[in-house]
Amino acid sequence: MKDTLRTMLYSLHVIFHPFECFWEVKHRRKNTFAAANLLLVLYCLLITISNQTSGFLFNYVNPEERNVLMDVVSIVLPLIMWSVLNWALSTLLDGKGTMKEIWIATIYGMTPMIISVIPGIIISRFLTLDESMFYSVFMNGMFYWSLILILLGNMVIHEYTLKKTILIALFTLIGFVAVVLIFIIFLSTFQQLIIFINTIYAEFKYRL
Amino acid sequence: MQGVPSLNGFIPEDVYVGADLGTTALNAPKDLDFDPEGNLYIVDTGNSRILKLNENLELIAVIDSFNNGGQKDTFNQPEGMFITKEGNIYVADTQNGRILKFDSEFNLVRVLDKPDYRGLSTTEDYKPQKVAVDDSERIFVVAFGAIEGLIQIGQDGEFIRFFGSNVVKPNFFELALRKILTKEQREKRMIFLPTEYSNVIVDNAGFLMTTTLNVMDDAIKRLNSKGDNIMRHDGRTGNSYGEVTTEWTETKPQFVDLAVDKDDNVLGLDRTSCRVYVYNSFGDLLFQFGGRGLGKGLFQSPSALEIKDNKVYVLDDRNNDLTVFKASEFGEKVLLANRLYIDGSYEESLEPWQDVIKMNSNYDLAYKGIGKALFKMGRYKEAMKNFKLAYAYRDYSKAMGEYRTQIMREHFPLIVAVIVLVIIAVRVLFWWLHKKGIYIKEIIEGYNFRRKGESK
Repeated sequence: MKDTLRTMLYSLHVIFHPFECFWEVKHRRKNTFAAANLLLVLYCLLITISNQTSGFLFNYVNPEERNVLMDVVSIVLPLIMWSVLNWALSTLLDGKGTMKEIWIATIYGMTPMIISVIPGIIISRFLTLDESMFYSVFMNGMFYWSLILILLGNMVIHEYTLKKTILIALFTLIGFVAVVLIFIIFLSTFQQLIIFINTIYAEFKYRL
Repeated sequence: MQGVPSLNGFIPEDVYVGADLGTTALNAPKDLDFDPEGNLYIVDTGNSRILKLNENLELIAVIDSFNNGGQKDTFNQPEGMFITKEGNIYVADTQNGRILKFDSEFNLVRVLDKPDYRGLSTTEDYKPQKVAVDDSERIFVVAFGAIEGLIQIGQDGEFIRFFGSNVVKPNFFELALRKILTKEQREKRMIFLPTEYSNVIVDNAGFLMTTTLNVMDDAIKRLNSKGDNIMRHDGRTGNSYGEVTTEWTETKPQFVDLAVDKDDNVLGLDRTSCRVYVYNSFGDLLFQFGGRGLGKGLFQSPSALEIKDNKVYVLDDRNNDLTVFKASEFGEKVLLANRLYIDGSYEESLEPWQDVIKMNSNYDLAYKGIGKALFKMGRYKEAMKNFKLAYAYRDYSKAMGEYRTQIMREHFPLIVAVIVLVIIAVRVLFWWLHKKGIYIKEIIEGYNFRRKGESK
């Protein structure tokens, strides 16, 4: 447990030393998977808290329509999809990382976003709309920083060049669309199947 | 956004059919109007006549013919009329294709025939449906199929210009498609034409107000002398009027008539939902009332609306009746509070708004009004709470800014003391950690490596 926590704390070091640290995370640190999952749980928790307690001016979602489950799913699901699709593509294009490593590196890359949540809550409660620029610059800055870190992490994990990493990241995003499309088709087909079985069942029940 | 039923602002008082007014049944009446003395005129389109009633809705006269240059002349299904402040009466004699100007005693002054214009519209016939005359005696006509806008004519019936036309918004998909299609294919595509106006009135300040059928946005417009829309819509519903709908619904409002009361509240009559919508001059929805049906206070096909002394008169051209609504207790409270609120007398409006909240605790505008009153009194924290309930982001922000300053001013020494203490505490903590030989940097960087040979 102590090792896990220390590995978790190591994510703070990742922020300023991405190349060195992603390599360390991949090769040398202990319990990185557990640490990454803990970080993810922490992030989900913080986001949930943030959604409930952010200042009124920066929190546009109607409290009646707030759904904690959806908040969490909207974080975890893209992450899972990213890991799976990125792995699926990188294995074909001689990437060195496993799916687990992609998962870990991505979550470690999200550290600036995790850090930004609590200061975000605090400043959102003190700023007026005229000063909203500070808030959005801060939050967006942290977000793009995370994006860059995720990209760099991916690059280190797969031992790619930057160009190749960006290309594969773009392909992964196209993959997102494809997966969503297939999922919808699958869902509607499945629905048809259920209706079909239902009808046959009803028919049998009627005849027998 | 989901609608929550509110209390009725206006309740039906009485329904009048032809017999109640002391005449034969109405037939598809399409317009009604008050003259400066308070008499009510009903344009009984199907019977080609105009009824003149006094304030108590008793029949004074039936006008079905008039003297036109020594000869007897009649209307042919007139659909609109307008009475100026001086008492001159303009009638849009629709099927005869002309506009008639009368004096207040219904003596014909002038006949304004088809103005000489060449329009885009497919219909050759000139069918004026509604007419409005502004304070400088400029005449504006809504004619059937005149998609170019209002037809502005002079006092002698000469064509001056088209005024304030609706514009067609470019549709991205259509534009992209048109790039690909051949010329022949393009010509076969649907033509996008601007929508025509359905009604025009003049408001208290002399501006024209128009209604347009089947549009989601800007169904109600107020036009300045350039023809631009200057309607204020600061309310939560923005520039979409009528039923609060989501974007993917197909039902669009069909506003057929407008009325403006003495406080500049705008009443719009929507034929889709058969309801009357009342907006204040900032564009906040105050009430809606009416509905589709056969009962008292419900409509099948409402066609015209007027308001006078907090009483709303609505004509129905399928039920052939006139319904009179009066403001309910709730309605009167809201109208009073709203009047003070619009005038900027926020403090005076506090008490009426609080009464409104007692009757309907979901009334957004009341919270906004209370918030503004409290803001003016300097009770910023309470104002913030009320603005939050009203979802008034701008006002909330302003109140918070003031509240922040107030707190800072009152507790300045305390705040400084806390900051200084925190800095000292952090310093002491680091010194203590240093003494113990603990370094944050080391903890973060950590040295929990795998030993050599350990599997991955």
